[in-house]
Amino acid sequence: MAPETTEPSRASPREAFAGRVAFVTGAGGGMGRQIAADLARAGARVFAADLKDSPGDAVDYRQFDVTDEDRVAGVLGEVFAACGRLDYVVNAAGVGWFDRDGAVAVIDRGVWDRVLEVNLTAAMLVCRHALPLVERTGRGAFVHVASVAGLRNSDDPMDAYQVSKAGLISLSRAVALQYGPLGIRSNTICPGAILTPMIQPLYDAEPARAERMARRTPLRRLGTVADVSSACQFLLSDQAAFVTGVDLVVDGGWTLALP
Amino acid sequence: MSGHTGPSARPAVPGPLLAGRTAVITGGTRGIGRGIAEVLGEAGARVVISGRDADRGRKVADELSAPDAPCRFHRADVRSQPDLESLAQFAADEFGSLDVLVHNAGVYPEVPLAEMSEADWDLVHDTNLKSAFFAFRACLPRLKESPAGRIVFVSSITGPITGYPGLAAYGASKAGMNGFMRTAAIEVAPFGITVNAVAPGSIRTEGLAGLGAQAIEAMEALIPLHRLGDPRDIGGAVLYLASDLASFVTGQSLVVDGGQILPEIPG
Repeated sequence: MAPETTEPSRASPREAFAGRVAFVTGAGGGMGRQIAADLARAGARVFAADLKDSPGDAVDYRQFDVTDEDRVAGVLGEVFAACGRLDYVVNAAGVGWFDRDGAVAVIDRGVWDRVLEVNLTAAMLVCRHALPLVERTGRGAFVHVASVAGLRNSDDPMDAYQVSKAGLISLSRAVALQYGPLGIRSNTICPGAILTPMIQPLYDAEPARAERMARRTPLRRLGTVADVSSACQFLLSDQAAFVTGVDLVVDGGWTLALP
Repeated sequence: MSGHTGPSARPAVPGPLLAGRTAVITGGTRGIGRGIAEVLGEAGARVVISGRDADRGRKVADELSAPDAPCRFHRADVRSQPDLESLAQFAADEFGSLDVLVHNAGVYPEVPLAEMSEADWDLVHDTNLKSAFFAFRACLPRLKESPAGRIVFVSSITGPITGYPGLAAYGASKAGMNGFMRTAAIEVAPFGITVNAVAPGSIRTEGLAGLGAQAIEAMEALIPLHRLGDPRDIGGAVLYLASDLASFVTGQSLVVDGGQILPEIPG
């Protein structure tokens, strides 16, 4: 049975991002898809990227592998050529191979390499090729979807995933520090237990798991992709104009108490 | 199951984030507190600001009042539990609810530890930290009645993250505030109330007025965004945490410092 979830009932002002251009990776589903759709709804022109087929939302969709540097550079160049600006970049692409990820002693080298490549290296490539374009735009903001797994270790080891997210957190701070003087901000969101397609197989395999996770969360529910998208809108907006280099934990209090 | 995988529908034209909500802001007549009051009021909240100077408080409340977002002043010394209970009662009487508590009141006298008296220590801790407990206790019954109770503490980077000569008592009080915040968040989560903190860095307030342009420039040079924060920047962070957008965020301290704590060696 699906746990009851609550969608935020209010959103940012409709035109909060009017005239702005956003690039969102991982927009084929889950958090990235919600983030792309909400930015478009808030007035931004959104370019969405994912390896998956387009989910059919009202955004300009490019299907490609974000670990392919030439494609990353090419698509970002097309975005800038089409719009003459790039204001916001959201790195939401990520993989979690929970069935094959594991402890450092046993993890398959190929799994390790691919998880690091998608979750961390791709974000670095996007930053590398987006930063000069945001710089030319004048100012802007980056948000990277990390995880509480990048801050705390799971007792059920998924070492590639958590190392990739810890790396993403460090990458975000590097961008924040190096590009702050140019008016470019960079922050992460660290979601806890959120209902997404990526995590769904775990709940399908063990239906009681969702209920147990909700019960162990102080706010007594799992998070939604809307909770994450709301945090992203805040961090991109001028409401957060003095916020940079932070990691915003969106976990219902999950990491507050000791297990 | 399905349904959660697609983008969720949102109201086509959402109202202001805090329309219909009542917010109480301690120390709301000046500096950061006033900036928070401005931003929450613009987001549609009915606002009650407290302070110790009634003449100043009433004047500021008049300035901040808007037709659809009234602002009222109520005198309170945050070291006094009865004063804070009176403040919570005033908000409920005036506006019919209390949905958001922003505990911002605080003092920051610079006293080197070698010269610090017990009275110095107690003044800072009574005003900054004991007051958090008092304000929490005074507002909790009404926050429980709110559909979206929110508590936001105005902490600091000084104490929880960094140190600063002369601010040992202040830093301890703010670090204590974060410790209080985390357990309070767990205890009131079953009521749907979230408890978070914002941690301002260097903010352009009246307290900096006497420093002079050169000192301000030197401060700005240490901040990656190359400017001081505005009280309204803190208001923006508080607004997010006080709104429905952050209904899954609790027990967090959100740093608002322009990146000042990022470098290993500032500057």
